[in-house]
Amino acid sequence: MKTNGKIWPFVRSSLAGAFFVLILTDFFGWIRFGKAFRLLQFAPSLLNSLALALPAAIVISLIVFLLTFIFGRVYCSVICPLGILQDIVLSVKALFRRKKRGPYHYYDTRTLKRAVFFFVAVLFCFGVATPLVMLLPSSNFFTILSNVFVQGTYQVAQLFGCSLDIKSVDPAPGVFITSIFTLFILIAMTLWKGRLYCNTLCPVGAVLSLPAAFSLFRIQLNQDQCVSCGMCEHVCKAGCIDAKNKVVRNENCVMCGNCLSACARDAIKLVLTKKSAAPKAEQHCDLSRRRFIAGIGGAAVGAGLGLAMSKLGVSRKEADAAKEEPSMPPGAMNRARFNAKCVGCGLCISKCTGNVLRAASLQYGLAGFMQPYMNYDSGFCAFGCSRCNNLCPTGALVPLKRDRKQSTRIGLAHFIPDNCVAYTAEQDCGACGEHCPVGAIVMVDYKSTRIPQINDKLCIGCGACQHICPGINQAKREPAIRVSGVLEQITVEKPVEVEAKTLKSEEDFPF
Amino acid sequence: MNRRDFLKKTAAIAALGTVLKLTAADEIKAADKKVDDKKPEETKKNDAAKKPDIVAVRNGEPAAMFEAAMKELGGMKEFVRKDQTVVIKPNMAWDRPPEMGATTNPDLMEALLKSLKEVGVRKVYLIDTTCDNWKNCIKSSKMEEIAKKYDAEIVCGDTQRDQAFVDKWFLKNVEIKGAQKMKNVTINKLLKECDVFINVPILKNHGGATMTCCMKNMMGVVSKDMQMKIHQGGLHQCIAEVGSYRKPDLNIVDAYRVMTKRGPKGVDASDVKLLKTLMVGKDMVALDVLAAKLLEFPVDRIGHIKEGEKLGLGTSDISKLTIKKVTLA
Repeated sequence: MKTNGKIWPFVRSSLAGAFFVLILTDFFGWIRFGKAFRLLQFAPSLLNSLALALPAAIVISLIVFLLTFIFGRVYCSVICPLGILQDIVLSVKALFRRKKRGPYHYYDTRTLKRAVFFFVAVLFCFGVATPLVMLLPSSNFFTILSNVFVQGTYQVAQLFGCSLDIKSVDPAPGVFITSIFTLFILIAMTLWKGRLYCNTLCPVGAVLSLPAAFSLFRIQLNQDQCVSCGMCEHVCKAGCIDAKNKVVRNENCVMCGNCLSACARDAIKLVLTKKSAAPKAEQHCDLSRRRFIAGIGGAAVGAGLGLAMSKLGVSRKEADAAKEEPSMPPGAMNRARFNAKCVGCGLCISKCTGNVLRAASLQYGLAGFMQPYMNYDSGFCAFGCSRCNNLCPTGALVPLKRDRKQSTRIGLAHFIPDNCVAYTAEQDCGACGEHCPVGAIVMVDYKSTRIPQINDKLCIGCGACQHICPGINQAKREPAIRVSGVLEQITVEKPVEVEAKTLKSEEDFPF
Repeated sequence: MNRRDFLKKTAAIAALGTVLKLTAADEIKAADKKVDDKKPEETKKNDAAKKPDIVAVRNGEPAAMFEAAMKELGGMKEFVRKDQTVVIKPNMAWDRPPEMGATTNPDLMEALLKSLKEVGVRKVYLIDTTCDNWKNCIKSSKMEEIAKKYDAEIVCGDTQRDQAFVDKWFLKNVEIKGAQKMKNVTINKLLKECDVFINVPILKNHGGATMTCCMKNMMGVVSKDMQMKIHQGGLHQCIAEVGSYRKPDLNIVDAYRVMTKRGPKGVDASDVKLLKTLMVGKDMVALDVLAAKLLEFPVDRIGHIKEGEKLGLGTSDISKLTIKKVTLA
């Protein structure tokens, strides 16, 4: 068992590296591994189990939970992309480090962790997803990847005039700054105290620390052999080893295994804990009165704050049917449901065929920050595509069959005659009618030209008409057709077949 | 000299004059090349003025009709020579299957590429600026498949390949001589760089321009931004002006499946009629007039026909032209 323990750090980093490459491969679409692969992320699969009860999601979240119960938080250092990203930052840092002794010290984060978790969870339960959007590791990883790294590459390529075929996600300033800021905070926290993020802010870490505290295999200090030298504590990036008191706080341990090879006396080991041979109570659970109060108190403060915020409705902008609302991606079904369920990972945005999905800054109000909305200035919803709702890992977008998607209304077009070149200048145009995939825009005679007439019964709000409309203003984009979002995505009528007149040319040449 | 001979000679000389005038306006180098290219062709036409100006074929499959039409015109080698670069402008602007009649018939395209391969051209490009996502468009219209088979390159853009790549990609900012509204355009630079330019439109109804055929199909050679400007600043005149940048050496009108209403994208199968017709010729304007007759659209409603004639793209008086009509069994 001794050697097994020592090779774990190597096995672990190889696995993590391989997994990281797989995640990037899937993200960039070099090879697509399908939805089950994306559901390996614990938060999306757990949320999907709650939202849609997708069998694969339930099975995978149970597997991750069980894995943690058996081996501790292996998930955090092998599967979680943000965790691996932190490890990458740490290994870069290690290159510049001369001192032999590790830089870490034991710290207790339980109060803060519980406060943050309950704050996030309570707000989420009351339909405000924003804190979760900001803190979820998978969301943060993918938004940083697409908003900072991919977009950055795109901008730099443009600067040098290379025509790289990269899809620009074109984040709004607020979104871009948030992503940069998140990355900056993450790197700062990592450089300061290793996996600090994972044990304070990360909701997944908080959930998984519960089974990890009672896991079957766990890292323990041998009370007799340990001399409290602190070698293990100094290499523990999760700060979970208290060498002085010879205690390993397993709920914070991310199972990186660095400590196993650090000990000169083989006093720290991965062991199978048996009920009979359970260590002293204080070894894994410090039950002093102060600690107990702090733990409960943190949770209560977080929950209370969340409750107060959701009750006050600070961050919630009530959807107003009278005003022009942003359109949600197809499959969102209902505005309140969508805003409450989407974790803003932005996978749909980076994969959008029509280049129409963009991360919202304040379009939905603060409660929909970073969630996708349809920006008809940048593109329009491709008629034959239903990629966004089929890849959504959390179930915020309900997967739609192509047929259903093509008749799901995501918005409704309105005609603004004063901006129309045909109406104002009496010129033929018809760009809107040309692009309508469902025949909802009919060009009707008007003076010497034709103007669009919108059939509300057929319109699905794809926005092709708005996107292509040149408008009369040469300097500014002011389309004569605007699509406003709907709060409830309904199924519209099928386009009607209109009988065609017979042509003489069907029989012979008319000339 | 009888009247017919006189008319034919006058027409030929006029055509030669137009070509010389148009090419003289270009850079000297390009002009030299063009005159070299055109001269033998025109003189040949003078000698044997037997070949029709336009061939219309009906009642056959796309490939058979194309072969019949090219036979009447003396074969592909009349238009393209060995080792030349050819640019083809089909209509592949929509993410619609060929059955919807929104994009150029793939069988016709295949026959065309095959005949070009037989001549032994150096390189074939298929160009278009698509309305839907370009990758989806070339896939659904089967152009990707055909291009792969015949080793042609698809140069396609849509909104996502934007202004940022002008000059670095296939787009180029140029000035169109003699244009008023479309003076400065962002256009596909292959048009002027190639030896032969073939326009292969599909005949359709069009909500804005009434009909889309040869001249309207030429809108796909400019960038997306330009297309919007065209819609903004007088559709018909702009269409004619873009068409005058580089007149096609050959137009092949696909009227096998035609969209008679709710075009140019179409909604369902009821919009499409099986007309089984194909027209080939050099004169874009005349072909558009004939196309309007096929679909029974009033010619005076299609503004770009008049504008095109004004700019010297061709004649709308089809009685001046010899039209060979072929009905396949």
